[in-house]
Amino acid sequence: MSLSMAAGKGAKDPRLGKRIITLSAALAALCAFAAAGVALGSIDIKLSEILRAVFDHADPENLRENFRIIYYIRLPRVLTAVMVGVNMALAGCIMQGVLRNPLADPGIIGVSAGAGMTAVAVMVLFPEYSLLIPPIAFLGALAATGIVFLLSWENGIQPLRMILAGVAVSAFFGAIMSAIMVFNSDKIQGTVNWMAGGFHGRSWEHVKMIFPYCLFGTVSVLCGYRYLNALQLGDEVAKSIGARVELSRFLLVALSALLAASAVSVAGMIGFVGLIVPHTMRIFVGSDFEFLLSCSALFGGALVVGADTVARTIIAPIEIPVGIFMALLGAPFFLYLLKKGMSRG
Amino acid sequence: MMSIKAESITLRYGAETIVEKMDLAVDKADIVSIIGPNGSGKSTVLKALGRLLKPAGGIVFLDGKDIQTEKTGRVAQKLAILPQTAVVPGDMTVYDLVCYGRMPYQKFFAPKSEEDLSRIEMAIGATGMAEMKFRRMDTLSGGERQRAWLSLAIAQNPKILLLDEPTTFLDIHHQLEIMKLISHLHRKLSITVIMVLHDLNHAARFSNRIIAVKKGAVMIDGGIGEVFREEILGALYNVKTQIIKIRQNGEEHLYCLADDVCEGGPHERA
Repeated sequence: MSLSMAAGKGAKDPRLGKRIITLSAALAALCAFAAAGVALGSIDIKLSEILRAVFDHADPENLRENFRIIYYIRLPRVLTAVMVGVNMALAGCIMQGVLRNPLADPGIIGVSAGAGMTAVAVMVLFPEYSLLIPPIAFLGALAATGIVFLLSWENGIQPLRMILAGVAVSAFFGAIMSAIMVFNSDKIQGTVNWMAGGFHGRSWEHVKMIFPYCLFGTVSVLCGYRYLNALQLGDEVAKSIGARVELSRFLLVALSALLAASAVSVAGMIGFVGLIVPHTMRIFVGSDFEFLLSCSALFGGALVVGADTVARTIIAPIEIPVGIFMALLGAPFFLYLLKKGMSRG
Repeated sequence: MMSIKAESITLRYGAETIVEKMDLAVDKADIVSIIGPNGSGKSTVLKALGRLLKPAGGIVFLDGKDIQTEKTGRVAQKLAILPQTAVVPGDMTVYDLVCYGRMPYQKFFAPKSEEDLSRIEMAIGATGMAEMKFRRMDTLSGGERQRAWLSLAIAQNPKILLLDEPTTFLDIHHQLEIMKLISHLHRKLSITVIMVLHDLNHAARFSNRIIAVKKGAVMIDGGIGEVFREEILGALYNVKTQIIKIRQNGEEHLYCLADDVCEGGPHERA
């Protein structure tokens, strides 16, 4: 990543130090929490066995139980959680930038409602196909986003129309979902957990499902942050400096939708990360997306994997759904940061 | 010298026609001021010249090429336009803002080149913002902020600079400072400046040519002496005016003093 701020001769950008510290801290937190996620659990496993399971999975002893716990349960769970966090944080960061609205998150373009509706429909109406829930939820999320796109299109995406269309489409899909649940109230047991969001039982299948989107999304935002930055100057100035405003906006929103849809489809309704993480990072590193995107991605991954680890160990063997856990602890913390950030100006 | 030419352009916002079949050409490195009453369409014309508004009819040619079909990045290397209401994230620094001026020159994923860096420094220096380059935009005064925006435009290294009321919201000190800076940049970098101005006396003092626009059409287009006449300004704004000649620091300027509004003026409400 290029540190363009350091380029000026003479005096240095006063924010540079803070940005590097935040970036390093987010990276350190991600590594620490991911390691803790693999090491900790309701069964104690020796460090040497953990290391062997993670780094040398051709171990001849690989049929032993502890190896299986590490390699088939904890490792994919941790990786899924990290990538869900990264994707949701990036998706939220992009949406807030494109729509220039601090309340925007992937939920606003119908991603969550579309995924939720299709997932609940499968769980309740066709429970025999519940293995297919992630890909079906993914399609549902994209379908809802597509409808929002069509409704908000007029010579390119109009941000305000997109927000209004998103709210309407979300309400519509939400209503269908509620209707399914009301008329099948005897069969909604499984849906409750999915709605709360969580990583229980996530396998390498889920890792494979989300990994391409995570990789593609990360590479894309590293290439595209300039366009996101340019949009912050308003459409006219962005155009004046040669940005293709409508095209940039379309591609960025589509990218955000893909990231969020892939995350929601493997983890259920974890909306909170996309809203809170970019805001929190903005308080520390400012609004330059070169830093905001990378810090949000790292911190989003760290937050989700950290929260998931705590949520499943704090009152083990009972698991608190991570979505609930994050919202309960994160919302007050976020309000605290917001108040502090505001009073500082 | 780069030319910009509007050929029979018709400009609409939705169904409302603002400008109908206007011709306009600038092919000398002048400072050209566009004046006219509120709602006359002068800002709309400027937007069309800067390819921010696509004409419903007619073509704007920049350097002989249709400005709407040429790549917007290529246009941005020749022409910069500063709209009247420019927004910026408050925590952005002057330096960051000016860096955007190099966007038309940067490859997709390449870091800034040596030339980018030196152009950025030059642009910041040219507007006297070197001391303030790492200040946040929300800590600047109105005049300083306007200078930062001018630096952004200068960093694009344009041949043509379009400005929409660059002195709005500024006090007379900063108005004068910005006008002198524009005039200085024009001479030093031999940039063509086309700007919409409300202050007639600034237009008379700082430009070589004035285009008066009324009801979406060019009323008169010419040198200061041609346009700055009592009967013309009177008809343009429906105001009784008095034009006087004054000397300041050895320079002669025409001054327009508004005397009284005429019946049926452009500002008259039903």
